[in-house]
Amino acid sequence: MKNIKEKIIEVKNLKKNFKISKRMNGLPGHIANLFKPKYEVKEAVKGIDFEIYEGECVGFIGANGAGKSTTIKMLSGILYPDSGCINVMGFEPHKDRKKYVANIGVVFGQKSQLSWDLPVIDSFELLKNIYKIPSDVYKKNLDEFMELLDMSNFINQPVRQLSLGQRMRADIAASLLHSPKLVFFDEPTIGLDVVAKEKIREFVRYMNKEKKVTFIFTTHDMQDIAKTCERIIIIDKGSKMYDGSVKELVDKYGGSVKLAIEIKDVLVDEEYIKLLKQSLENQFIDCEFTIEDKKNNIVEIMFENKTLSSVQVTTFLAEKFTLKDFRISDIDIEEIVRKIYEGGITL
Amino acid sequence: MKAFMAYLKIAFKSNTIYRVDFLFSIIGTCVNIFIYCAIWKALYGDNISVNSVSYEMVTTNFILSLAMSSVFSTNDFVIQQKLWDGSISTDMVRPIDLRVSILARDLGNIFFKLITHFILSVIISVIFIGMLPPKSFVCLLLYVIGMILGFCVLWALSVIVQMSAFWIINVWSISTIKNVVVNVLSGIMIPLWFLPDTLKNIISFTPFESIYYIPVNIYLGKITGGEIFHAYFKQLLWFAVLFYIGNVMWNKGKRRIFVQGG
Amino acid sequence: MEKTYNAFSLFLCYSKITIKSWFQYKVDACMRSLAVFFREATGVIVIYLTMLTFDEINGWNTNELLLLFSFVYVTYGILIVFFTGLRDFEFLVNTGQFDRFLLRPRGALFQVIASNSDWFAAIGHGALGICLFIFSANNVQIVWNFWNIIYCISSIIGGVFIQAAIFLVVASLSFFFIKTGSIRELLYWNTRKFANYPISIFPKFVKIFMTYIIPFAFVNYFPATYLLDKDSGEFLGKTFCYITPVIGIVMFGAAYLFWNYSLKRYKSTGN
Repeated sequence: MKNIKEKIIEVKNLKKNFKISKRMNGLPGHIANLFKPKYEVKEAVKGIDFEIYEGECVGFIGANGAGKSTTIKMLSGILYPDSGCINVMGFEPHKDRKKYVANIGVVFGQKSQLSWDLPVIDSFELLKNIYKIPSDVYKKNLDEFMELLDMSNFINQPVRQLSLGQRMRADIAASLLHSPKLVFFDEPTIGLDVVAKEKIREFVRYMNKEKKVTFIFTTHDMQDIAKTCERIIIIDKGSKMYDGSVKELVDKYGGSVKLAIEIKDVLVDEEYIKLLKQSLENQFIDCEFTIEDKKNNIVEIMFENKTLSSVQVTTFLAEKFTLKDFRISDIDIEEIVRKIYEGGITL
Repeated sequence: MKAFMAYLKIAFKSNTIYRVDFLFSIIGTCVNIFIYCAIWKALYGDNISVNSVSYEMVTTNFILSLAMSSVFSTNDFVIQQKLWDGSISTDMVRPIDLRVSILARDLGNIFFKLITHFILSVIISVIFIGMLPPKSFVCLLLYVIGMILGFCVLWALSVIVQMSAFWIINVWSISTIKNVVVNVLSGIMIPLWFLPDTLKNIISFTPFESIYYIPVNIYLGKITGGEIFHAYFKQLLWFAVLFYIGNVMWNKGKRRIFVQGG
Repeated sequence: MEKTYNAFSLFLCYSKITIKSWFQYKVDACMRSLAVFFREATGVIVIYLTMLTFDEINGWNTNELLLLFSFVYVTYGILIVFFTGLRDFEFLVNTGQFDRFLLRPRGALFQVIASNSDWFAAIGHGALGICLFIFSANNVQIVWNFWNIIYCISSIIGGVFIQAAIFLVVASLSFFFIKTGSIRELLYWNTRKFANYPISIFPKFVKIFMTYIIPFAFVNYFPATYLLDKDSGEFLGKTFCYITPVIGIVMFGAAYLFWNYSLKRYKSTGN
């Protein structure tokens, strides 16, 4: 029963370079810098394409410096792209900036847009004026967010007195007061505790499902992605690495098993790990094992379960080593992404 | 002592990083000197000496006191900053007294500026404006001593301003007012020779003339013989008094941190 | 019309916010105004003390000098109501707050200007400037007529725009350089120090600099010489006294073009 969804964002061959001044050392270098600075060109985004449809919730992930912030900034009209085209809701963000940004909302997890010394409600009133939000819409949205984000007990408190979680919720409400159709969240859960994170995820799910707001979400917390997004785009070194559903990624690359064992009686050290690895590899030839010391005598063993069943491995280990306890789990999205960053998985 | 030297080194090094700022602050000092000298040249007109002060003495006063004031940098906001970001609690548990580390940092800045700002701006001024040589070589040495004592007085004043951060949110206003008073009453903006006698008498009961006016007068040979020791004594006395006040504030203020910290 | 109304209402809304947050720290706010007043009054006090010994400086007496001063204060008082945002623009860029302005459906420059008005310092400067102006104009016995008053008002507006243009150029440079404090120091504050005195006392290169390069002389020197009916000096023609508003508008227009050009090269701060 799905409607044919409309394209909301279209990005083609998007590129952005930065010039970085290169500093030389030593006194002669300093003097040389003063008169003839040298620059180095860094390709922050090198030709990205993607499309996003109305009502989607897309996770946008990548390591620090991968180019995701730059991409978000170009999508939201802050930065001029060097080449390529961006079309969001029929606008070219950097060209029709004023008209365009009235339709989007942006939340930066690390930069609040609220006035530090004033009650939250004062900042909201200012935003009402800036966005020229009609009073009835403003009131309706405000009431709704008050309830959804549970803001009623701190709306009249100065921002400097709020907890990080409260401030973040107020910031999110601030960015959505003008009912944007498209919302960019740049690390909205950074530094929050589990409860606060969950509240925000719930809000995103609600706005996405019920209000049909399109979300683009950058985060380092894979739980955010797992709990809110259906689709992820992974960016690394300025290029797109993966673009598809979260489920597919897990199915395709998550075919490994993680086995956590706790060793009894012996102290686990480097030697022990080496020994463990060797004996596993001797037993199961042609299989690859990644072994990690998790401290407190707990060792994590990862292996592909296409050729090898976890029963075989566990039985072997139980025979050869003194196990106190063991636990088997599938590799989750967090692990996959970590491995992608580390170069363990090539997409 | 080792920690002291380490702080000093850091301050010295960080000064070399901001090359452009360095350049502009020298330009700023020279521009200031230039403006005052130009004004006083116009004021003097064809007169050779006014109130038995020659034009050259006026320019020498401006060059020396402005160059000194560009060197005597104290950061009035150290404690305030530390209270804001909470790093004061780590400083309290360090083996080195916070005030010693502040002094070390200030001295690091001073050594850097002394061999750059002071010497450069004096040289530039001598080339373009010209100034009187010290009355004698001994005068020059005595001047250096007076200058060090003058800095001590200014530093103790700055410590008082810094300590007030324990009681008020922002020391900017107090710091600004302090700078204004220092600038006017210590002879940077107007040579104290030209002030009316009543005002001069009042100023002689304040710590301000100890900062720049006394060293400059020693350099010019206007204070001689036993008067010099009298002047040194005055500087030392003011340093002791101001330092004592700062000390009392520090001991009281310290307690307030622990109260706040709960 | 509606556009102007909207802009004005946003400006008021921002000012309300600024004043409200200042009043969170009432004592501090009052002390700041006081400190600004004192700091600025120093120049006046020094002039007064100096003039106790000397009667005149290059043909300017105390009252005339104070009139010259008053133009600087009055224009600066107005300037920081409207253009504090430009003065402190470097801070907006370096903390990433400028990004936020770009994400809002209003003109970027307008928001920078509207979001920051230093009303308290403006009161300090403005009060000092107006007092000095009235005091000195009264003492030198300027005969007021319709044209004089129009002249004063237009010169003050022109003077505000000249300084705003300098701020705007320096602000635009923030798109290229991380630190612009020293450039502003050189282009604005150092130049202003010269402007506190009649430029006729300075060597020729300063006169040329103050007239043609950073035309601060148009902020106070030329208007003051006109009002006092003084000779503005060797090579400086009489016409210079009339063109302050023109200079202000032309400079600000040029600075605005430069701003627009620079904005395209904006590199938002990375994390």
